[in-house]
Amino acid sequence: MSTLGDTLDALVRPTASGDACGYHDSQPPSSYQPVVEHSRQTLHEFLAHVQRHGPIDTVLQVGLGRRGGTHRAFRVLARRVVTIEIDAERVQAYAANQPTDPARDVLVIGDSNDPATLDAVRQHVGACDLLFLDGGGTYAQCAVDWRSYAPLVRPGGLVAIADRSQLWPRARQRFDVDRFAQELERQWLLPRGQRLLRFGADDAIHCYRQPADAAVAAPDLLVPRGFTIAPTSRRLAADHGGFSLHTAADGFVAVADPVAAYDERARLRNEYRVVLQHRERVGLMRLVEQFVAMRAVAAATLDSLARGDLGGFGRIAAEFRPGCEEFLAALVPSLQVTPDNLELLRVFGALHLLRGEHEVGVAALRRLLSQQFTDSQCLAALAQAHLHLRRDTAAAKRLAADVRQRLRQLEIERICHRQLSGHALWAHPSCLRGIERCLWVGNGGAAGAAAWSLLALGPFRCLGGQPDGSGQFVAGASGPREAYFDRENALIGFRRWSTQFASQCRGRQQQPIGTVQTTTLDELLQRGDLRPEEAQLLVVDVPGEELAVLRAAGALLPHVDLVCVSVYHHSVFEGGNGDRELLDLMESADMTFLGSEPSPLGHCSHALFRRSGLR
Amino acid sequence: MDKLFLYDNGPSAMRLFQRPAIRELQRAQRFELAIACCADDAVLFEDLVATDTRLLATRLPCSSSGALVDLRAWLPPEHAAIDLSLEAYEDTRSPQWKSVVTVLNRQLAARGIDFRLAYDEAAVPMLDFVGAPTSEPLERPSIYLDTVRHRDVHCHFVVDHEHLLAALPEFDFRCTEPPPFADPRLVDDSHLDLRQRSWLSERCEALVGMTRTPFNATLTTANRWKPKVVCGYDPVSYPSFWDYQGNPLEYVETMDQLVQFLLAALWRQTCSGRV
Repeated sequence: MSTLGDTLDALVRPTASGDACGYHDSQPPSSYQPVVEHSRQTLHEFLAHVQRHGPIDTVLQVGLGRRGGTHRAFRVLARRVVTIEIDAERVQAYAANQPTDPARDVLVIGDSNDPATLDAVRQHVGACDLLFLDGGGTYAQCAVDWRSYAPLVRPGGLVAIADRSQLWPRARQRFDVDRFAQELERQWLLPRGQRLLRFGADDAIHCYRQPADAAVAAPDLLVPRGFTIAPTSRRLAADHGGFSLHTAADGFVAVADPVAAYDERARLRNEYRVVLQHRERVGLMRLVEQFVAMRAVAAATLDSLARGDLGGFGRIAAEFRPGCEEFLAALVPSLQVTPDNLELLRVFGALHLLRGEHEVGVAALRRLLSQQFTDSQCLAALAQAHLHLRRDTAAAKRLAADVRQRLRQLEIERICHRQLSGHALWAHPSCLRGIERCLWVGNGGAAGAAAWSLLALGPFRCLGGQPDGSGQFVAGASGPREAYFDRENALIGFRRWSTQFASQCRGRQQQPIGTVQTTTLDELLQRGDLRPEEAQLLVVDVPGEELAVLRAAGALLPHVDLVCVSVYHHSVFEGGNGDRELLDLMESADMTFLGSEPSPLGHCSHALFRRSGLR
Repeated sequence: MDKLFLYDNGPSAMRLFQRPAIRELQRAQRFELAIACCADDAVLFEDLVATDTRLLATRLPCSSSGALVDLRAWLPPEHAAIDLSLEAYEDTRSPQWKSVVTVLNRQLAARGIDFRLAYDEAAVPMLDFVGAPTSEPLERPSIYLDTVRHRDVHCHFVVDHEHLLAALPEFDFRCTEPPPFADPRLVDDSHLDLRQRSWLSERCEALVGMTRTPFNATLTTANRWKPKVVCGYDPVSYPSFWDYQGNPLEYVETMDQLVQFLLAALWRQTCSGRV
């Protein structure tokens, strides 16, 4: 049984072309290729709210986004999704890459401000249950879209506004979508006794329930004092050196691989391959020319180093070292804005090596490699720089070891994302960094073993009993104990369901297994039946007994780096665990709470704790 | 004497939290300290320079996310590199004095240096900058309004300047961002650096901030008991920052709550005759 969250997570798995994956907040700093352009928690909470609101027949959305992630997410809840998108290429790409059903997917190409687009939408949508405004990203655009499309939402339906204005402090407009949401609440909702509900913080979705009188055309809201239309960047007539030139807030910018319109926020997300900036237009053009030339020099430098051609490296240095300083100084402002841009780091690092500033060069290339550790040329060049320029063999070895570990972690994460689900460990594979050995206590050991084998990690040991009474039963105390079996979920535990929970489990029953002999983890350790190093990762799934199991593992816990434990939030078991007690116990054991993930069962979560002080 | 190279590759404003730790290391009188910083951050640590403490300002400026390149590139010989970043460990990400002490002690232990800073929750130090040009009150009673945002997933707030002006007619607002419209009571102080903003805040009657940084520049001894508020945080879901016994910091979620807080805080001051 998968949850809404599991279904949404499945949508953001790597695309067939492999160029997109994840949510807005799971992107690396150097590239931005999400399937869904909202933060995971924000979107999950918003859609859970929508789901609780009631059946959704039709969703109307303004803005398809890069890959139509929210369109697909809305399809999970709604019978039909109508999306307006101004960029025809995006619509064509979406239709080419995603299975679409004309009865369920309606994509309207056009400017949402255009009355013709509004007419086209009205032909598809008489009244919708949910309106999601996610186009343009400015106060003015949001206001026009709201005025045009909010009246199409039926009374009692939901109107939602995507608000990323507080995500980009550097590119913040004086009056942004967040201010529009505030004015909407103050001028239109509060007089109707309503407030906006907000999901998320810096990446927010505001939402309100459509009042009964909203079918009447929404009025123009009064704009705040001092409001001006946010200036948009203007593209200059002529490209230069393969870059398009644009006006910007503090001068001019040049964008590699010319773009029709420049967006500062897209730059901050590293969506452009390279952006150069300068206060003056002539200065920018000169910088572009220098960059094009120096990019070739940097490439030759790294190539020489990577091949171990120190003679070639020396010749390049002799020829180009004198001209580097002025160019590098001019490049710094561009790098300041996007410090993780791979091309800028490559040029910056290589030229500093040429200039003899090996420490800075190595540091810049190291930063590049941390974003893209599969760049074999950069890796080879960096290793040679450590060996021959800095004469530091130890650093070269550490580099190689670090890259090996990262590649291994990447492989683990890939397997977890594509092939595993239903457990917090596979939903958050980054927590498995450095983990090799696992001790699995209680239920789910067989599935855990299979996953562990798939990940090709180290030794795996399972301590769990069977419904026939065989196996090893671990509990909070040793001795005879009544055991129970939940057949539907294949769970064995030692506590009965509470009356309240049992009344909710229509048709399900706990079946008594009989009396079994239980032991504790510390007892096993003391007897020599368990070695402390086996439990580098300790997974505990003994329904209702987890806290007791951990309390009886006081001698083992100091050897554990990662704990994953089931937590039952409601009164599922008689005398079961409390969340607070578990947190206190783990804190006293010097374990930091990392997070939790709802289990497919619905009434419990898997909580992750990591040893404090680990880097 | 042990030689320590103190560095943090994080954003400039986050580095302010380390200032008390550096002072404590100086007080121990057993270290030679080299404080690494980006070129434009030197002003934040100049007042800490002393006989056994020097500043290593690189020639490269900061980016919005911190140092352009790893500051360890400037590690002098025979110095132990001490990473003071609160991001160094998973359990020290909350900007509290306890986190700073924990990071420092772990780094010293990792380098084999036998010195540990004691943590006393009753004695949380502040981040004072030495050398304020004046401590005279401002011409008119003023409220420090820090609307500058840094990236912070926990915070969402929109300031309505009109609302503030109407609710508090006796006060000026010293704005760390250019005000959205011209008004004689909205004073543009956006040109000031963090140190200057810290000094300015000490001359104001109340402090209003958004994200944890750069509002942390107001965490000075003079401001310790001053009315202060952070807007847009949920203190139940997210940890507070730089907490100390008797901390008067309040958290508000809406403009109405902000105005109510300021009216209550400054009404008490008015009654005592300070305004």
